[in-house]
Amino acid sequence: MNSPTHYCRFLRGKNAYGTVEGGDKPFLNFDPATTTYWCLRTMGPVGPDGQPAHLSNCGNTKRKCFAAPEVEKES
Amino acid sequence: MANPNKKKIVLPVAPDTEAHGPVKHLYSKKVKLPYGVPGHNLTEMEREVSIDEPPALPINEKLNVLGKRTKRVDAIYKVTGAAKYTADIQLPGMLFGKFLRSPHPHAIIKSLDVSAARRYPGVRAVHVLLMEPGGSVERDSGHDAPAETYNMDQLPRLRYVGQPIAAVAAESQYIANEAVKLIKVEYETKPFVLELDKARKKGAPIVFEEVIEDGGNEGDVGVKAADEQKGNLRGPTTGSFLGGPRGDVEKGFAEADFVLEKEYRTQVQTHCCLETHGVVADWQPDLLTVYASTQNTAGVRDDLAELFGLPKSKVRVITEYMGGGFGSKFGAGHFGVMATMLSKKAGRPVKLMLDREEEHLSAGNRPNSHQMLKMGFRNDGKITAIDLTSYGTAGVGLGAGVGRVAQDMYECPNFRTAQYDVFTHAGPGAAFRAPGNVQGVFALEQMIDEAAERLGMDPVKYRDLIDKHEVRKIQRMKGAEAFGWKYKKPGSDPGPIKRGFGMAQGHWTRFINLNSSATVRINKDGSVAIMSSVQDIGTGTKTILAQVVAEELGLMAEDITVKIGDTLYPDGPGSGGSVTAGSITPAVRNAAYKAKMELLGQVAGAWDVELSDLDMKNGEVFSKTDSSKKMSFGEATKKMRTNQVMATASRPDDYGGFEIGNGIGYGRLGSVQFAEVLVDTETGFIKVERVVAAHSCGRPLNPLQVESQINGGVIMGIGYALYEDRILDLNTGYQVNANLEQYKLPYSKEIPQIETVLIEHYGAFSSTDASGIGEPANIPTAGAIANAVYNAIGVRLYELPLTPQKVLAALGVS
Repeated sequence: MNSPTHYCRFLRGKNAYGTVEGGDKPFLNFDPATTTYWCLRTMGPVGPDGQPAHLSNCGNTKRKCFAAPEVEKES
Repeated sequence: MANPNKKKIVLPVAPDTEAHGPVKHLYSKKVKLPYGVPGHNLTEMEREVSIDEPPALPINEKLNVLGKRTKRVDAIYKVTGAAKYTADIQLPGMLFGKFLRSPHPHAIIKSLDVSAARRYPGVRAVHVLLMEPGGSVERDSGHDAPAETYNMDQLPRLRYVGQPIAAVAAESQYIANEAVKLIKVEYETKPFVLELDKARKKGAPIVFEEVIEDGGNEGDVGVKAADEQKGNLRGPTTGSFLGGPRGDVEKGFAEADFVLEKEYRTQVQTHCCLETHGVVADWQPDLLTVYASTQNTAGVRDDLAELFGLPKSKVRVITEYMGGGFGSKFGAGHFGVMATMLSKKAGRPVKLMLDREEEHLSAGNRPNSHQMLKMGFRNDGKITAIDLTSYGTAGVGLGAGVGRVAQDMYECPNFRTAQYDVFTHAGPGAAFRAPGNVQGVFALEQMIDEAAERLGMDPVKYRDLIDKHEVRKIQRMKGAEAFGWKYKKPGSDPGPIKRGFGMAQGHWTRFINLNSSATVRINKDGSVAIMSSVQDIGTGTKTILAQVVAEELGLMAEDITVKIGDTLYPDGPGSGGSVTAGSITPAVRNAAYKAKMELLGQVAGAWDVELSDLDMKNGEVFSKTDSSKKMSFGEATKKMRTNQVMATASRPDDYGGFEIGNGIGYGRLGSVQFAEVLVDTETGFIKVERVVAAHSCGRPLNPLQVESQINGGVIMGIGYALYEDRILDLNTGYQVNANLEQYKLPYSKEIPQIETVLIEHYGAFSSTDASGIGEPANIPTAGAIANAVYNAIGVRLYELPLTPQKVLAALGVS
């Protein structure tokens, strides 16, 4: 497992470099101004609680939809 | 090649160095690689690399397969219709899906009843998106008592026309289309705002009323995200991986001999992938198989595994052929998750492809922009300060910045930017071919031309003065030569139809995705296969991979079978950001080299010679010292002890390391384009007559395909410059041109003569030294056309698209 981060594991982003994922992977925030974010649970740019999916919102453990990282399920 | 401002910016913390760290080698060796541009400054660069790396490749003219104009290995399947795209997939028992989407730009769903749709003959599953934790996955996994009605606490707030609400799966597309109309919804509509300027104003309807902020938001490269939000305004973002503000901008303006300050606007552009977004999902107890139109098979697999709680090994994603994505086809997408959900419920495969209208409404777009650019210049041409403020809307999404060209393309000691997102009630943006940079170049390159005119300098010569990028300098020289560049006084043609010449240039970071792996398998019958999950999104990846292996094994590209786009194979990179060629081809070459060494080792044993004495070329295995010892490749493979030799390799670090973290390479990909236009000053009609596009992508592996990519980039740039524009009805929020008739793309008669000037440039970065071309091909086109239009009519246009109406308005023609 990589160094844990505190971003929701359902957060996704796409920037010029490629796709970045929340959870236990490093979140490569190369250029926030041109990065699009979405929530895997809602399939859109809004989380299940109606708030925007974004790096600055989706690390919040107070957010009711926050899902902590888990160890990768590889078998 | 070097960042002109490197010494003046503070680079962020390396991204994942702590997590992964640079790879250490037990044994290394020194190799000398080609470095520079043949015919200009070609020399050699010595690099210390892993002992496992293959020998250095010479420049293209000394190779047999790489660097040669090679027809696509899959061309015959495409032109005969044998190629199976996702939309072509038919599985036994397959159902067809259809979305119910929001008809309102802003509304609350007070109630929703799916009972009539569920009862409709031929409907096999219905799924409603619920806005609660776990909303997009099934709570009632046994489907014993599927809900018929839902209340407003469970349902999403609707924030744009086209937002998905629910979907059905049925025996035919017709039945699905009819059934979805039977879902009863009671809406409570709310005020909405669609326009960038109005959304910024006080009192505008708010898209997101409450935002929860948290602490650490810097990601892993130490870049602070824009987290301040007031009303619909969010930001600004002031930094990136290239650093933040530098110098003293006010001091820079004070030192300037003249200052230019202008406003520029660009429109919303939709991706218009000819193959729409969609999947066929087949949920089986032991394996979820998804045929996806995606730019990232591994990413779709990861998304679905995460969301449905499956091991990655139980999700298989296949993309054999793919019809365009341009950045919008990353991740499983709302259609991918929905199709999987419906398949799981119905126990049958489900095809869910968006139609053209849905594609425009909900599959992403390039955000618009309003840019305020201010630059200071000295009379000797030097830029003393750059100040760029931008506002853009990605609808309900984020990421409407204008890129980093102003920050990074020209030398300037004093720079700052503030890039704001503005929420509106419109479909979310998505990455789109060089996100931000296309918008940014439209502004920056017009201002550079204005400065050149003020200085009394030819625009090409002025850029020679202020642009330190060595390869782009050669591009300007070669491109100008091919174009027959000669500066012409703006608006000087007599008569109503005026000819104009213009140029612009672009800048793109060389990204490398290290999660790029491939297997090469040599079979005893002499056949060879490449296997990787990397997908060919229409750019010709299959062909360049075949060429790489053919070159290494002394074969021809058509001798190689390419099995890619399937997550059963080793993970390849997602195809976006111009990363694919530079990321996967070194892995493939290294795997081929390992397999070759294994095969040669077995032959050396049979011949009782040293392994180092053997090589492969022209379909033969031979001794370099004994001409009597040679045999065909097929004869050699028959001597293998096993039925196959296989080797897998992953993308190593760049030779010489990375500029930032593990993935941002040294050297920017430059591009220069020249445009010739005709402007009818009586009708305002603009015709692009000719474009010369001068580009480099490291070692061009297949010049024929590189030219094809550049042609595509230029055509897309023409559409952006002149035609494409998402138009929303301000009364209803609907896109009035959500089709390919009123949303105009360039067709054959609007496509000019395009001439490509390809600069072969070696950077000694990897075992193939290749880079991508997708983004660079698209970045400068609109800027070059805008400068050419100014040159034709002598009046500058600051807003895209450059329509006849705007031309006439600029000319003062009523």
